[in-house]
Amino acid sequence: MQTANRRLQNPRAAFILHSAFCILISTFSSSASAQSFFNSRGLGEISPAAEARVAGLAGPAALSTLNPGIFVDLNQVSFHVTTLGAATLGAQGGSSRLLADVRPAAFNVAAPLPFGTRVFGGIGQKFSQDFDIWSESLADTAYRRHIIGRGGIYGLRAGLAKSLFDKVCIGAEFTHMLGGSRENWRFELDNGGYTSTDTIEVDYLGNTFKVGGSYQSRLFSLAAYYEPDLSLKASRNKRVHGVISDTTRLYVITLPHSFSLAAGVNPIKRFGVDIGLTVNPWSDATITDDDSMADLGYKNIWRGSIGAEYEIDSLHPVRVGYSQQVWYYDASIYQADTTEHPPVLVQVPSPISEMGIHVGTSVPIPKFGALDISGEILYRSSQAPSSDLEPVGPAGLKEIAGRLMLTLSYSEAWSKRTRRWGY
Amino acid sequence: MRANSPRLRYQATRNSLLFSSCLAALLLVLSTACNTLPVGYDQLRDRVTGTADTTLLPDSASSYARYVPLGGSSLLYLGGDADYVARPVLRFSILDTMSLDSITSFQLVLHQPDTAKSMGFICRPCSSEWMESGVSWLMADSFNHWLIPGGDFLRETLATGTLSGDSATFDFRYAGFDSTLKARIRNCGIGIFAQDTGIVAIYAGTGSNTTTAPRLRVTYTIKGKQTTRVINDVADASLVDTVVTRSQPLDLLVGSGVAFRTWLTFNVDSIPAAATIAKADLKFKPETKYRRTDTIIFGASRLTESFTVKGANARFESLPSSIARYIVPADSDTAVTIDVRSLVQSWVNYPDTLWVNHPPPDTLRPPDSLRNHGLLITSSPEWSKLFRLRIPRSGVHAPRLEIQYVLPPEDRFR
Repeated sequence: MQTANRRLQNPRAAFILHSAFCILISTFSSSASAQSFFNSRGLGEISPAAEARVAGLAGPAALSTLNPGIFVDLNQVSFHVTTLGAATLGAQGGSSRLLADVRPAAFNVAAPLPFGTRVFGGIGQKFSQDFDIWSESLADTAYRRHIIGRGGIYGLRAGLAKSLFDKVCIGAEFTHMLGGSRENWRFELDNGGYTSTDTIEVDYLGNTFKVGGSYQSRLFSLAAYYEPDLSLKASRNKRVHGVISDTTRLYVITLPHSFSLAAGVNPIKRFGVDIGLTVNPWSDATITDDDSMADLGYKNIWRGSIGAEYEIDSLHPVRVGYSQQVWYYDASIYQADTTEHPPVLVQVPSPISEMGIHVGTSVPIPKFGALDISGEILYRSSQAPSSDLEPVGPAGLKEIAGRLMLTLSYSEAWSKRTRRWGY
Repeated sequence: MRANSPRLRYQATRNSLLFSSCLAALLLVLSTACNTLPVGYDQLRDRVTGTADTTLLPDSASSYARYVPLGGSSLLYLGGDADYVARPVLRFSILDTMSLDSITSFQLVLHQPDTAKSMGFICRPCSSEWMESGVSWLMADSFNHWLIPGGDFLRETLATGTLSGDSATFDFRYAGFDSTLKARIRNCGIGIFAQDTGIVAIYAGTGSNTTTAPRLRVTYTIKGKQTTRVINDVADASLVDTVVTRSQPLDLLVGSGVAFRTWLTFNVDSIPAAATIAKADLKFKPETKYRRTDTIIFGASRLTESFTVKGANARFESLPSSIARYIVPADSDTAVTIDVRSLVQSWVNYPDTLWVNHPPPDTLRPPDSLRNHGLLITSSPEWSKLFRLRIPRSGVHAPRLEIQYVLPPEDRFR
């Protein structure tokens, strides 16, 4: 009977594995590109936890591998390779543009050690600075600016965890932050060519530490992690027309601590619910440049999520979730102060709000692990707060982003159990 | 019967709905994916430090004339009027081994584009060798002057007649000359002199259809059989002179044939070195002094040496940085606009302070060729159909440089 099953399963497993590897390899060979029209500001969008399983539950960060204390049940070597396809439709003032890309998102690996300890590591993106924006035509000319931003800040993580009593795990990790962004400010001619390019390159470097823990039982789970202040050393180099190099500017960006909490409950067999909360009290974020410190103008924000999972059968779970958050920096909207004469153009900060609907499932790969799939629809908008100022220029920017995440999860020994690492 | 089954109809409806939905989604994606609308630009607006417009008038202006080689032209000019005098020189590859005993006729064939014109002419042998790439009114080639400006010729008459219609054939005296003169005709070519007033154009061998190129047609008999052989010219050029070089020396002129070049400099020190030049239009409204064409092409070339030091001998980039087509209007006030953005960007990138602050032998001193020595307005090319325009030195039609520039963006973090 087992031999017959193996014969049936092997071609299917090979097909799924082959398809998954093709998708992952093709996306890893492509370069990351535009994600959000809002990414031109701040440090960019906070990248989501790059695990399709968690993304399908609306992304409770404390239940993901971002939490160093999540490895209660780890009893075999496992790794996750995740790729992310994203499309963003931006709309403003009656115009709309679509940005799309596919890119590698994360790699995580964890292995059990004797005495309930675990070692783990990985690499993933923390901030995305990809954007692609056109200007309107400059006055009286057919020339336009095309600004392309590429890059982000990545975390290279390694840590140790200790499982206690098969229900509790605590862990700590060291993260080396690195990355960079490159902005090309191009002038486009009416015939489609470029006349000149100004380039701004910023390299980021930093280290941080994170501690976390979780309690997991059959009915109930709790997880949390804490990340202290993060100091990012940035080095900026500007080249004008590709010829003139501005002097290198060095500065330090300091982000205050942040923490994440999550809870899960399995009230009935095959059904579980989780909630997550991530708090980034970043209103005190600063930039230090030549001994002068300035406020970056970021905000205290939180991200909340609620998700549910139902196992149609023991191998096919279905996940849904809802998330809501406000971004840590504001978009800008221009309004006119008509009380002044002549009227003065005022840049009004407008909060970026985001809500998302998340779905996901898993496809088991016999003798390997699983292919986790999640789909997300995110709606982002920036609206100016009501004021006496008169609106000028385009209205607030709105985005609808769709994300498809695939995570190839390998477990050393195939297990029917679909619940992994935290819920 | 089967086609009408409810299941099949349901499937057909479902498939068509699916197809329509996919098509609509695809169209939506295509319509939004390929556009360049300014979505999100206001998020970057505070990093754009602004644009500025400025209009500059020339700091210095001058004009000079040069006899330039006209061998590249597709037309040869013959004749003279109140402004110009022109004569073509031609050279044919006549084999010196050709047996001339059996020749029954030796003819010169010329074609002209304007079939309504006629011109009497006489053809004489050249006495000095010349090069198509270097021959001009003054020079036989790039290094040697004619003994007499306008070319060195012998007195013998090779052909004479009146050019009229689209083509004309003339008897060409060659067979009767001694071997020394034949060798001179083969090596030095011939010149054609007008005998009437006015200027006519003749098709050259360069750039035109080979059927209209100047040629010799030789008819001879071999073994009782009459044979005709056509010998196209291997080199031709017009030698053009003008009286204008000696009149109105303060005029700013641009012209072809005898090349008139106008030199202008603009002080761009007021523009920051980091600025991106979005627009730099050199505008002026010329006054037509002479033209044999309705379409005139101007070129703006960057000077690589100082005009104030070297004058008319100052080097400039042989390929113009930009060109502009100007249709000579009958009575409108159309202005010439030359896009010199790349030139201005180069001047802005290399401000004079770089040379002032880094005197020789400072290794940081850029090459002098990069310095703002100004620009030359020329005909492009200078062997194009004869024209001469005058650029006003002052007034509303005088040259002006309209510049729009944008400063580099601010940092992401400030």
